[in-house]
Amino acid sequence: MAGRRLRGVAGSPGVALGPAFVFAPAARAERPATASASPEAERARWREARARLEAAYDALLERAGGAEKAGETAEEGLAILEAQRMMAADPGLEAAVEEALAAGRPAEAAVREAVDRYAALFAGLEDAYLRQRAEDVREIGEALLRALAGEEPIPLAELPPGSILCAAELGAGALAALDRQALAGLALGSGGPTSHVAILARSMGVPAVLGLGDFLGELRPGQRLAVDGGSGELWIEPEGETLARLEAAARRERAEREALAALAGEPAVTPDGLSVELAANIGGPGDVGPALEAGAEGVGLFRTEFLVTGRETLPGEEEQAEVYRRVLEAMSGRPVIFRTFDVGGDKPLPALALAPEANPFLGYRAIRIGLEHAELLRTQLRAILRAAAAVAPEAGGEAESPARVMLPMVATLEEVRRARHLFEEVRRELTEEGRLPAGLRVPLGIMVEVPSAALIARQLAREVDFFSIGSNDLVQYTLAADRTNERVAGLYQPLHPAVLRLIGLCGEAAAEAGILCGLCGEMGGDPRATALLVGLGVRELSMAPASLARVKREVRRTPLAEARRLAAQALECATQAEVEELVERFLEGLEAGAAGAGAEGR
Amino acid sequence: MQRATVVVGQAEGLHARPAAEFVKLASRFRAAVRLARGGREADGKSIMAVMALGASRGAEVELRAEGEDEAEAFSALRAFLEGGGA
Repeated sequence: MAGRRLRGVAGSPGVALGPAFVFAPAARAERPATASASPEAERARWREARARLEAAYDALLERAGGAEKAGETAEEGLAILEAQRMMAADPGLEAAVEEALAAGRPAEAAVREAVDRYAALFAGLEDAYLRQRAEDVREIGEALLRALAGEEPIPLAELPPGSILCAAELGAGALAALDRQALAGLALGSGGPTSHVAILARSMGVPAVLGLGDFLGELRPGQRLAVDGGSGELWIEPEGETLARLEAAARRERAEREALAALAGEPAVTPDGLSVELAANIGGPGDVGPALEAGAEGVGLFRTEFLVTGRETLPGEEEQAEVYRRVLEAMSGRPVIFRTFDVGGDKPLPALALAPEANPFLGYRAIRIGLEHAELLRTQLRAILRAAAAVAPEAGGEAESPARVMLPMVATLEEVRRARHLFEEVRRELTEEGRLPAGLRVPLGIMVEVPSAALIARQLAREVDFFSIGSNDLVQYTLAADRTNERVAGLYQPLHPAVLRLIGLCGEAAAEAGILCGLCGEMGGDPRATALLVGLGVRELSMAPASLARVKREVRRTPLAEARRLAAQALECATQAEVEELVERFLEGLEAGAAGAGAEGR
Repeated sequence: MQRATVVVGQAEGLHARPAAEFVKLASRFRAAVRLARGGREADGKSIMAVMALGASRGAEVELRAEGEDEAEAFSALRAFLEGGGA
């Protein structure tokens, strides 16, 4: 017997063990429907209820704000509570309630009707996330009804320490009201991965299994439970090997959390002194905040396409320059790599009315469009340079801007030369117009994602200021496999020796020419690949902010000399499986080494 | 009155967080702010109404501002919607 297993939906990753605490808030006291008072009295009751709910949210926000400083709730969790508080105070909701009150309805009925109206509006939306917001409206309606009944608007639970909270449903507000120290894990009958309670649980780092349906009848309070928020399983009284496995996972996670938290303020430097720049990929100015919070030292890939996709008309120079300036300002002097519009093929551009193609991945896209529709690229280059000028210090003289321009999907040297020609022309124009200081240097680099570019890396390195390897496309083009096509996805092998050789060519060529070689595909955020990439000569890694801490740990524990040895061995492998095995042994060696060093230290 | 059709640039569209930021920004101005999409109209200072427009990324919404500080309100809100952040 391993215990009983219930299957739900993965809500928030992590494993937690603890006693079941069954949370079933007492049913609301309902006023008899016949009870009636004057509209004035009902209005006063409604206003008081709303004021109490707002006060309850204020208290939660204050607490969550303190928890954020303690690293227990991330900004996203706060934003959800803030949005709920705004929903409770919403002028539209207020107008709907007041209208019903004016018609002589009791306060409860007025709230219920107004809430139903909004919930129905949300339930009819196309966007799946917004459709789920009907839940938030209902949560707020429930809270208002509880306040009207004279109860606590957001019910609090006194949790014994280390509890697994089990409930049929739970709102994000109610979750925030729980004592994080006492809450080990969460098991809910309702909810899905995009529900606000799931987002908040992830932001608080509480493992959660949702969508367990009518599961409360299956368990008794105090029974020993294990929540596996990664697999979406809830174990009731796990035993034997299952218990040992779950306990080990929970221990490992705790140690890992502590280790990563300890790294937050540390630089990304190898034990033998090599700095590796760890940067973030962003899709718009709104992503800068989370990137900085996660410790990004720069933006290694700004996907500027959001400015053009789905639009009938192209954005003008002023509009673009404004967006670029905002990002540069928010990054306050840290490097920002602007990738020029990577559109066409699978990313249609309505403004150019491009014809559909039989092979979009081998077709008219990215730099190929930019060079032909020169106005598109020219306008963007002007906007980037103007943004660079806007954040440049007043004093003249020679200076390098934090702004960098990156050309996507370069396949040939001619493309680089044509783009460089255009770039210099635009520079001259702007300098003559008095909009760009003559001494301000803005580096121009390329994305290496076509094998031909990697194979002539040495020739390219002489004519560009940096490389950034786009590993996603480089892997797809090298193994000729579309990773979104399930039937060939197995051929999408980032650690294949062929891919590593191409990366190695870029690293070597960049070192020879004295330029920076970075990488901005998914490999950049994969901690298993970090040592290999550093060993192959990659000196900047750009990734989703969530991966930064793990990759930093790899950089900090891998001496460059060993990374180089690992890379040299990997280049001799014949298959990805061999590389994976090699990397695994290498990482085990590092762990053992670290453990040994730790033991000696003590 | 100032009005224009704007394409929502936020990665998540007008989800709870961006909608809350939009409403906070709109509430800083005296001008009345309206958003319209697909025949539905919303008060730009009501988070429920803004979210209930269901504007995902890439959606076209009509932004209107009317009142004494409409020019500032309009340009700030337009930049917010297009640029994907405050």
